[in-house]
Amino acid sequence: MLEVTRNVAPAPEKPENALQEQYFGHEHVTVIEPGRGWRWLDLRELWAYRELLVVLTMRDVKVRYKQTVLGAAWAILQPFMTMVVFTIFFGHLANMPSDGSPYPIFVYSALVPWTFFANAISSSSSSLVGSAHLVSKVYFPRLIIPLSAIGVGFVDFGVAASILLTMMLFYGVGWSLNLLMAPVLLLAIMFTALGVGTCLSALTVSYRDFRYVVPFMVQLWMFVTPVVYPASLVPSQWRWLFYLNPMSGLIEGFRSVFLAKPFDFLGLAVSACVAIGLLLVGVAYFERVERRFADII
Amino acid sequence: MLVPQAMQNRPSVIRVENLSKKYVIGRSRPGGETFREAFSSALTAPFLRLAGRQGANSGQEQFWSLKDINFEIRQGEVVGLVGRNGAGKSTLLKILSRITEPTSGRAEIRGRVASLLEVGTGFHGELTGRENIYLNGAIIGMNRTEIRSKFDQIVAFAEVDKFIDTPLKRYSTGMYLRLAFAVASHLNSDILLIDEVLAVGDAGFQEKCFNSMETATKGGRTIILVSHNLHIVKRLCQRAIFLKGGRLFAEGEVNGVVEAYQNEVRSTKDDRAVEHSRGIIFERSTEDKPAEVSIERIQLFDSEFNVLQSLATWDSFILRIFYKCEHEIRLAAAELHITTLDGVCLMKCSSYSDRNDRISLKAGGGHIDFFLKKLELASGRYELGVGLALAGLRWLCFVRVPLEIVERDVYNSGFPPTAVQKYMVPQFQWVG
Repeated sequence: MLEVTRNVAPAPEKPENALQEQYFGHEHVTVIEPGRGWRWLDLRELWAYRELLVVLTMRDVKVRYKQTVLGAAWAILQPFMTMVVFTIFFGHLANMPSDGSPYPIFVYSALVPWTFFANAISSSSSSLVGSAHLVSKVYFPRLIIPLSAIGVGFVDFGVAASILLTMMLFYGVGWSLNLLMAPVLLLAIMFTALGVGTCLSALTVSYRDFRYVVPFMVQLWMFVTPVVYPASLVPSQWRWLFYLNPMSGLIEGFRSVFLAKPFDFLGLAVSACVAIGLLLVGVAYFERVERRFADII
Repeated sequence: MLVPQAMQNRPSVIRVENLSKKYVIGRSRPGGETFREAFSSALTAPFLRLAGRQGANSGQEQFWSLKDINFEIRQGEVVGLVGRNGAGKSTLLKILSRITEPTSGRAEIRGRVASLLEVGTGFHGELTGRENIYLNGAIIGMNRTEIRSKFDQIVAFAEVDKFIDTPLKRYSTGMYLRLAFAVASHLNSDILLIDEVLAVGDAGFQEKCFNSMETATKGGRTIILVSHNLHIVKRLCQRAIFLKGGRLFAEGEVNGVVEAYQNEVRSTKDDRAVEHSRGIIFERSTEDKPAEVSIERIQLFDSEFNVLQSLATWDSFILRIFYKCEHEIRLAAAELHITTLDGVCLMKCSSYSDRNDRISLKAGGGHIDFFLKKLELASGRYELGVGLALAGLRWLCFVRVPLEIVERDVYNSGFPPTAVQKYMVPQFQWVG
């Protein structure tokens, strides 16, 4: 019986690997059943669809840099102008302490990762509603949409970080092995953004109220995170509570990276654990409600 | 090579068992409820459940878009899915392509599935034709090497080679559609689910798409095709499934099922004739699911905007289409078809491909008018189709209503022309 199948099947293409065969192959059996309750993310399926993730991210990057006149300059201008304003008001007028570093580089080294985080959250939370036409017409793991929305931020981060490196040359600070920690910290920020972003994107599908919540939330979040002030400003007995905000540890970590200061490993560990926790909760919630998206979007 | 009789021996590739899909209707917002309502119902639901009451959904009306559907499709079969609007055809395709989940039941599909519920999904105006081919290809499920190997064929099919590095926003409607269909038709899958993607484009291009689909059906692929065009269904499919009110009404050899469908269309038509008294030939039933854009009512007027009770041969008339629309749509298009009951299209009046009439839809709703100078059709029964679309992109909504044209002795011969002898009634003269 199976041999008959083989003969009439349209010339099967050579699958690239076993995983591609499993999800896109000619022998793959798709079972469609109502799903109930919690289920875990199918990581293998997500991996099989990685090309779509790349293509969607590339689309966002290209569109972003094609439509605008200044292109890449926007990725620099946004944190750079913020730095100038913060330096004037917080650094000079308010005399905010900066742990002995020049205030501009002190605040910019936090603004670059913070801008990445803030953009990742706002773009991922509106991503699903913005891709309603895809969600209601084609099947793919829906997690790809908020993931690709975050992906664009990496390019902006790279551009903005190049200015930071120039500033480090200018001030003659920060060149140390600590720089090697940057990718790890960036990954942890991505986890946090993904955890919060997936939750918010799923909630925005059901409740459009969240479109107004997100910008407000991001703004408040910045002030409970040591972006314009150093973590040392927080009384040491409250430090543990402070680090429950994962961005606190991660932003301070970024400062240690770019200003060559010792890491506060305890704070970093607490923040990293919370970040991973947020990611797990966010993705789990997303997977639970994912199957309703096409009906209610 | 297998002969058709051997079809019975082929393995089944799609098996659907007791598939049902329920929608909850009567919600005022697309999100269904506000966060505050959801929050309070989430708080009270456990207590209601404890008290043995139903909980949050008890006050809402349920609507079974599909109910207990069972069928099996063997490898290489081309199956047409017919039924009226709202019969559940699109829902079935959406479940089979995994866009939405069924409420109960089960379906099993063996092989690589691809669905084309529209063409050009994910196309982006800022990107070039080349970039869009890769983007759209990836979205509908082709991998990079596959697209690269077929790239030249796609470009040749779409006849856009000169513009391949031009941003899509500079493309004409025709080029856009050709490119969109070209990518879709090069998708290599074992099972293809298609929802009336042929309903766009000019006649010449439709024929080309149609031929490419006919070729595809010969390649041993399994295809499920949703179409209102019964000619296409008859020409392409060996078997058909007729859905009525969410249930499987008839299934089997294509000609028999299509005939059953046509009989059904004829029989329900008489109930609607009553509405003609106010010139209203269509009114959206409140049971239909709310959509982004919907046609609420179609009303018939004569050229002076007096209500017209019925249409006769050589009438000039105005069709007023009342629509509802969530947000403003500037580049809309409207189209009107009159087809015979066999599905032969006698006239197609489109605002964007035939003329360049600018149609825009207002946020909230409004109406648009269709003027026809002279209805050169013989008396008889026809089907009228009216649709709104995003110009050149996709349908927003489409309604079909039976149309009765009453007789008038336009040639003063004592024998008013009827559709039994001929459809067209031109104004003519012989001179000798």
